[in-house]
Amino acid sequence: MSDETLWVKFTQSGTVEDYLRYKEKSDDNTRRNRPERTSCGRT
Amino acid sequence: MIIQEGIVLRERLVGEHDKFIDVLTKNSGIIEITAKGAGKIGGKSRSSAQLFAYSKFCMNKRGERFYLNSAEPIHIFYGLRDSLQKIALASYFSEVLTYCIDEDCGSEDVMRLVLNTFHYLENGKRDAEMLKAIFELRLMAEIGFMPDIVGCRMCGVYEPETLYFSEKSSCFYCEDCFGDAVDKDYTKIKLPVLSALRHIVLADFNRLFNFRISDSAMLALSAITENYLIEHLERHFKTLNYYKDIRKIYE
Repeated sequence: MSDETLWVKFTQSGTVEDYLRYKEKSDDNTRRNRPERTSCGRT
Repeated sequence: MIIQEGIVLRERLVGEHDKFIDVLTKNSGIIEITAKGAGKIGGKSRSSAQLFAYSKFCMNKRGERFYLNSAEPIHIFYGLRDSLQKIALASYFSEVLTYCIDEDCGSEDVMRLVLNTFHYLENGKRDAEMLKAIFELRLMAEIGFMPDIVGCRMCGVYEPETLYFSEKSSCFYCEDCFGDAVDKDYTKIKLPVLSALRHIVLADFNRLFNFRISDSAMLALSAITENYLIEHLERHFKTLNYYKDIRKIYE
């Protein structure tokens, strides 16, 4: 289920539980889309 | 003890540490809550009682007034403070809501509309003008001012290429019938704008924010929804003028 779908579900119920499900997915996506950290010369 | 989820739409500082906040709730419309200590730095409900916070409020009711006991933030629309344009538009939405929604009027769909509008405004996934148009027209439809946009008022034609829409009469005429209309205070629009109007009024919430329209049609749509709201609420909003001024600077 995408984070947008979870957001829609949250707006329907307005509950904290649904918000947390949305937030978890949304944070997952943010982490996945974040560029890899470049190393500082160490291998 | 009353527990309700709600969005803070307006806040007024009282003294140094206390606040009155206007909160849009699902079941009780907009209620004014006295939040003692919410203005204090480090106050326990400072974050949950701030402007545009969606929180769970625990309140006591004494007489006609609500007093905040405790509050837990669910989502703080912090991204609305990214730009002046976003905050100006969100303030306009708040002013309109505080004007139209009364206490004790159930507003589940309005609450859903506000949460979704703030969400898309915050993350920037939808154009601000589009959000403004959706909010204005859908809100009007939800509170009882749904326009008659199914067909031409005279002949009932469903998809005329060109049509004349009246904000005052909340209906439209096709080009052929327009000559017979009594009231000439109409705006000429094209079919894509009518399709967008229909979508905003009739679509389910799951699909409400999912449509595309050209920039020129979006401008026409935004002007119509704005005039429609002002015509039916019979007043102007200072925050709308402010939003327009800010938008001019950004363009």
